[in-house]
Amino acid sequence: MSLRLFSHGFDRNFFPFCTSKSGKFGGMALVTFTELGFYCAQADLYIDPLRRVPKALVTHAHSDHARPGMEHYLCHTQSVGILKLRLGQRISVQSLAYGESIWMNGVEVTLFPAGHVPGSAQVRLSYRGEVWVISGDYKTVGDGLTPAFESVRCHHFVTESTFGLPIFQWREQQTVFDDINAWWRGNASFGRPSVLLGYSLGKAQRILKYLDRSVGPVICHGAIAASNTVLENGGFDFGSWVDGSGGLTDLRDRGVGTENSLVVCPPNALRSAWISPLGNYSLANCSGWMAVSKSGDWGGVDRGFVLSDHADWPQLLEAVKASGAEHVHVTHGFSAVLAQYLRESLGLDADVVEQDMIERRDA
Amino acid sequence: MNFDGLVVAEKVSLPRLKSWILAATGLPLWLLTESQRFAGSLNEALALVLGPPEGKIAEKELAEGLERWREWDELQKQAWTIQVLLLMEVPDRRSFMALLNGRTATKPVGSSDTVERISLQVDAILLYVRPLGRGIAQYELTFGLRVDDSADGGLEEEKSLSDSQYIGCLKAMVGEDGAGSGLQGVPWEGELTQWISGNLGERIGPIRGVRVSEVFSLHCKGVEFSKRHKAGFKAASVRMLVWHSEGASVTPLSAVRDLLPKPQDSGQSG
Ligand SMILES: [Zn+2]
Ligand SMILES: [Zn+2]
Repeated sequence: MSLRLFSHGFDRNFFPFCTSKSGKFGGMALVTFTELGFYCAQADLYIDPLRRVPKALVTHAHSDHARPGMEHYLCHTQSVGILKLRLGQRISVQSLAYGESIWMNGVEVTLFPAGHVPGSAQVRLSYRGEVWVISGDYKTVGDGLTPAFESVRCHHFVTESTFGLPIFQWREQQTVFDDINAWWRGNASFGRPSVLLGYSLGKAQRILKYLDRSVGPVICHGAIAASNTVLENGGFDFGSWVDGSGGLTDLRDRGVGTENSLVVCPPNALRSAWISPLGNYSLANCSGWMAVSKSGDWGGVDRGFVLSDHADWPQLLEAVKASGAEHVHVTHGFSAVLAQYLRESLGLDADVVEQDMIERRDA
Repeated sequence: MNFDGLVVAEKVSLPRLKSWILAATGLPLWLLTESQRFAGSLNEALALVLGPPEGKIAEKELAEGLERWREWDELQKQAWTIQVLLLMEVPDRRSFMALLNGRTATKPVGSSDTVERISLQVDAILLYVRPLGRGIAQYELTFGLRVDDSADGGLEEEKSLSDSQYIGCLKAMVGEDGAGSGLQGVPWEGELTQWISGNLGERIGPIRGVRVSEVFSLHCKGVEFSKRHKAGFKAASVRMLVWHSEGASVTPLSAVRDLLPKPQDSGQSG
């Protein structure tokens, strides 16, 4: 397992990304791993960089991938609205549709659906017959909301490994939503509000899409409401919801009962005064980490639903195999474990590229 | 399904359960160990690695069980695992049934086997070779596992060998077969026979020592308990998977012993 972290000051042309034993490529690699993130020198393009660079391709709008301060952003069309919402309306941003290509100094840059959250993309970089795919965060099983993951053939495949252990195997999402609706119905029958935790981009909208509105009203915290509006303007539809940004007491005055409601809010909103008017509510978390009983995400939660926008173990292996790549670069999670398994059990040339600074709790 | 009411034999041997899971999932041992480390409990890791049962509606309760971990004790988690194993095509169904009924396992009817065999993957170090071919490079290789200090599972006779770091216990053939292809079918077989001929050491009868440095991932089939072998077990066949380049760690002997069903576990005198 090697960690190759290059100082930004080096001449990257002489430090190939991968110096594996197989030595398949002698000269400069198309993509290198720098302290700012993945970098394609030929196109002078960074992917999900950590700090300010001239040109940043952002795979999706989660905060551990889309950071503020870039001179120019390039992203998928459906990410533009959220990116402006989070980073400011005045950022310079250019967008691509899935399958649409642009050329940057001879490098063909194309985005493909990653199936992670709305607007999420895999990046395909092709130059003189060498093809790299940087898949960002992804899941291969469709969720009915985000355009489904498309596998892209390549020589080098960069994969995340957030849930890169065989203990992570997701159930079909409909069975999880059946459980969520049953839990909500149960609480509502006792006149007890239900609070469901989920990240404001992706997880929240995926939940909204499958809630059984016959139980009661669905209320969204302000952070989620803002994302909802942007995504709805972009053509997404996830059913009816009530904007809770004016406060929950305000809702009661407007005739929206909270006793049988389901409130969707981001984890950090629990510590705010916003939630207090609900009184004695039932609290559940929706996360891949809920698969493990000792997970830290259980703190103070009554019920855990295992639902993630990341690939589970079988999906990770499926994506790697489908890419047809001989060289796999594993990042973002249980990278050492997955890389070792790919080497020893699948016979692939796999290594670890990991940046300590990357937070990875958007699961 | 009510797991409180599920009957599990008083002593379900965790090592046995572990070996079944490895056989059922085909995962290497180290990966199960990593999983256990993260899950914090062996029972939970075993159940999660096995995964939710698929397909039949009747198993919905089992699948839902996965989300009620925190309410369960270790025995209930184990009961869940055995239930799921029962739904799978596993070689040792009768033993699972017996466990659930609270009896000890008996040998399958019509089988002359009195001992259970398992398959597993280990990382072993090359210790010595026996040249076989006349004129062609062909060797029988002996690989060793690490002798560790852990008290469990050690056979008395090993105490005298504790000065040596490894015990040779797994054998495989390498080199050209008659048809000119490799016996092991790995792309680096020629490279390995070359390495061997360049690193031969002391001669002990028909056996030659080699430089003790090269570690291989091996897939071992038909591994069973054996009193007659120094290591405490024997393997029917060994296939090389990976030739590690440098500094790979060697699986401890105790890890294999822990996995092996002891003859007394199955009510047989081995
Ligand atoms: Zn993400
Ligand atoms: Zn991420």
